[in-house]
Amino acid sequence: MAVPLLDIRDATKIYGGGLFGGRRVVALQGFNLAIHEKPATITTIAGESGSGKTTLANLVLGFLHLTSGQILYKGVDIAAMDARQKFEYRREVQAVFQDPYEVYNPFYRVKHIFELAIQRFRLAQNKAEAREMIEDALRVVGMRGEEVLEKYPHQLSGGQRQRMMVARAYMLKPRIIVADEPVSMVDASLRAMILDIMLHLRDDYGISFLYITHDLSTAYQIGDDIYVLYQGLVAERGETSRVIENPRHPYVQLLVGSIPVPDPTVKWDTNLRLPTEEEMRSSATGGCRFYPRCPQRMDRCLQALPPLYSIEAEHDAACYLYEAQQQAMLTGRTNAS
Amino acid sequence: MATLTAEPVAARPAPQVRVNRWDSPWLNAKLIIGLIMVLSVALSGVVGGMFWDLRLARVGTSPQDLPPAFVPGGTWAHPLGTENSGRDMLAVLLTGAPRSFRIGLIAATIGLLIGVVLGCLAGFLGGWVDRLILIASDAWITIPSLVVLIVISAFVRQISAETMAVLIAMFAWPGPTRLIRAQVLTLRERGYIRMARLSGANTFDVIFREMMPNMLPYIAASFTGNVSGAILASAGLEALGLGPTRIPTLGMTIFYANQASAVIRGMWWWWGFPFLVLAIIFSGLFLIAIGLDEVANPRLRGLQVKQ
Amino acid sequence: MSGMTRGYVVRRFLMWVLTVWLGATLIFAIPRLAPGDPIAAMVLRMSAQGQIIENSAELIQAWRERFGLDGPWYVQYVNWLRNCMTLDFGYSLTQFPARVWEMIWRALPWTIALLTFAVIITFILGNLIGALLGWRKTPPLLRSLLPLTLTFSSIPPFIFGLLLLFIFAYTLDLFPNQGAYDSRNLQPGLTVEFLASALHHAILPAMAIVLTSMGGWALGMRGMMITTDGEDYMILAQAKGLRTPRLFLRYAVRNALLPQLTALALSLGLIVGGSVLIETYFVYPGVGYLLYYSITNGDYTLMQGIVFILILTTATAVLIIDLLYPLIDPRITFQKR
Repeated sequence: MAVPLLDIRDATKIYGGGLFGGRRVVALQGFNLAIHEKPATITTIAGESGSGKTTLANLVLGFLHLTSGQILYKGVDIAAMDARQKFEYRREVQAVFQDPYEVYNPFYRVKHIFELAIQRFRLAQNKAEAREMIEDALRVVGMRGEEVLEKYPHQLSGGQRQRMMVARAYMLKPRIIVADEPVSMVDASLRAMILDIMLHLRDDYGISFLYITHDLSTAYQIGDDIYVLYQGLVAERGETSRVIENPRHPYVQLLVGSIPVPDPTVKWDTNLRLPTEEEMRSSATGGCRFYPRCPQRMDRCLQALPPLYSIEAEHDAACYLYEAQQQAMLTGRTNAS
Repeated sequence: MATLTAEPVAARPAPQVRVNRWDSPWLNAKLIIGLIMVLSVALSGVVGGMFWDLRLARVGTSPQDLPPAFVPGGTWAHPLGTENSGRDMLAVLLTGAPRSFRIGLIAATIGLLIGVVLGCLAGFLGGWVDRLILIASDAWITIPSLVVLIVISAFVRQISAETMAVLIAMFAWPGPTRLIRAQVLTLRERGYIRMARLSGANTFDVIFREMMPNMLPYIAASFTGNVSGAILASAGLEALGLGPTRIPTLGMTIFYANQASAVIRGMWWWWGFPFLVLAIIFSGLFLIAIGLDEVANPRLRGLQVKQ
Repeated sequence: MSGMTRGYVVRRFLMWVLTVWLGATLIFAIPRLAPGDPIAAMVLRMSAQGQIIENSAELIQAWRERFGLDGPWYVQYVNWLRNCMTLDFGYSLTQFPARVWEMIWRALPWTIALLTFAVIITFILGNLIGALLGWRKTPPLLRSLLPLTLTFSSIPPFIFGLLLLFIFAYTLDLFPNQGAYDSRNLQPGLTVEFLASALHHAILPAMAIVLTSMGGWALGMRGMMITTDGEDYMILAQAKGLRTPRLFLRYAVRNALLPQLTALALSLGLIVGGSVLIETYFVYPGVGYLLYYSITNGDYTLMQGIVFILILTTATAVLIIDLLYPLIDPRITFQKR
């Protein structure tokens, strides 16, 4: 198989604990992920706050540096890129963030976000060409330049601002867009629209997404693969429909149970609660991080981190419950051969 | 105060905000009055030179000890009177005031430039660079600058206005440095800075295109404060007889007046007029600083924050 | 004392050492960096002032030896630092048998008393005015009168002092125009007459400082109060139905005062510098006036001693303010429990 577009290998990020001490926090541990050039996919990274999903986004975007592990883009480690490669990476890996207000510099008219990028990446020869690029990008998100470009960010609605961010990302013709909670701050009606645009960009323009969210229902709507993180570790991963329709890890089962179902006879049971301080600390002992909250915990869960066990094709869970199952699967396979 | 309307930040469906082009926070009454006061003094030398013979500021060009024209004994040949070595007070003020300004501007500009460089270094690099810069500025700001300047001026006789400005600038950097560092630290985490990075902006772009415009009111306020401080320092040095001696300055005039016991001799015009000009300069700068504060912090404009 | 507070004290103390060392180094460097030979310049000045000095070359040599100006610079530097530590600045050049330290020691109490007196009044008055200006429940009449107190803000204190002298000492003859007490009729001591006379002499110079620097504090405080007013804890305190005076003092002022205290520490250097001018113009027998004397008379040993003492005193005052800080900062008090 060809070299993956984005290849994250054993990525680990630890905050603090350096020369000046401070509390060591493992934000992301031993994370692996590959996104291939073709076909374009939407890969969901899901988790609650503190799960490490935003850390992952910042690592991919180059705002943070790995403590250990590698992130390869087209086979080149992003930490070892030369200036030209970095430049290309910058353009081809774009982002849409959660807060559609904060990303606009209040000093400039909104066209600044387009113009700065065109200027820095030398995308256009002249003003007319630049304007054409911007209009073209805005058309993809269903907007028109004359309506918005000359305004200041506070004069636009949240939905308009977020669509323009998507347009900006699209304009740069990226290979990957890191979408960090892109719809959590916009209205429900616009949410559907932005998700639609994402699908459109994937299918018609071959742009892959790293879709970071805490909301499993939107992931279910548009995601191809999903990685559910818990305290910096992958709890379960696989094809989105399999994981959400048939979650295996106790944490993911809890999460999926907390998605409201549009059925009045089903009681919405939110069993989720945030871990207490004490529970967080016990997670540093080396066992399964979910142990304190797990309804099916066993003694061995405290001894070592459970690795990812394969449950079926394209579906793994990091829980000892599936150890036997994987063994059976493997032996079954060897028997058959 | 001008017609300022409360405009909630992040107004949701914002239709036509800021319809009125005069509805800008920069059109602040205090800021404008302050600017007028300061500019009128700063430009007085240029304009005054067209109407008045500035050579009369030299020693012995006029009769001695004349009171102002509107006082019995005064003459319109010397509307503001003369002092005891035969200088015309009007000419002295017209030469002295712009000079004080120049020193203030030069010193404050140098101080600000150093502050921008050090503040950005501290804010962006962090770690030991940040600590070092912070400690140095904290220690430096504690040292009574005027005292050290007095000693330097005492050793460097025959000081020129430019040298004095540079010397004063040596003490004008910690304020801007701390301010810019703090601003860089706050702004660095803003979404638009990350967005600019994703748009291929380099550090220079980030500092000067993305951050600076948003720091502008703070920088302007700090700069104003520094101009004021530098003029105060230079006037203070002159008032101790440590300034440039050849050309008359406001501080030097007050020094001579004090030496000649002008207060006891009832020659109030000798120290009174320089006092008045200095008071206009400092009050003007003060008003500008308050105005800029209100530009930077809308709450200070008396807008009621909705709760 | 908790670890945090102890670390804070140690850091502040190191800061003090650093400041004093920096000051001592400056004083050492200035005459050596200045163009020309300071001793020769001094002799030249003395002869220019009409004193006939015989054998001036020998005299210069003798003085150079006394100052230790002949050794290599690092030996001079170490000697100087040692002298600073023992406060041994040798003899005054102009009042020979008098030692520099004795002369400073006689003048220092006046400066410290005047400045402490003036700064404390300024700080209290300024902050009170500012707090009332920024407090929403201040009676409208009072609020409209308060800005009048800011009229003289920003005018240099020493120049304002001239105006005060003209009005109150010469025209109205209410206050003496120079000195620190009636030295013709009174002996310093703890008598009512002496204290009354000292107070009488201190009022004008103190007023010059208070009236001109009050405004700065008032504005800063007003800004802090307005900022504090919007904070959640203020709204909660109001909701709890706390009475207005308590709300004003315990909640608003206390929280707004902390940054003001930092500002006081930072501006102390400026205040001390300004006092040199005040003392000179009021012929007040403090260290500032002594400094002026040393400069006009070319007494370089006295000058060095005074500058070092002024830096030392300022740094010490800043240290004291910094050490008072944890006492009123609720966060640090909280840590102690």
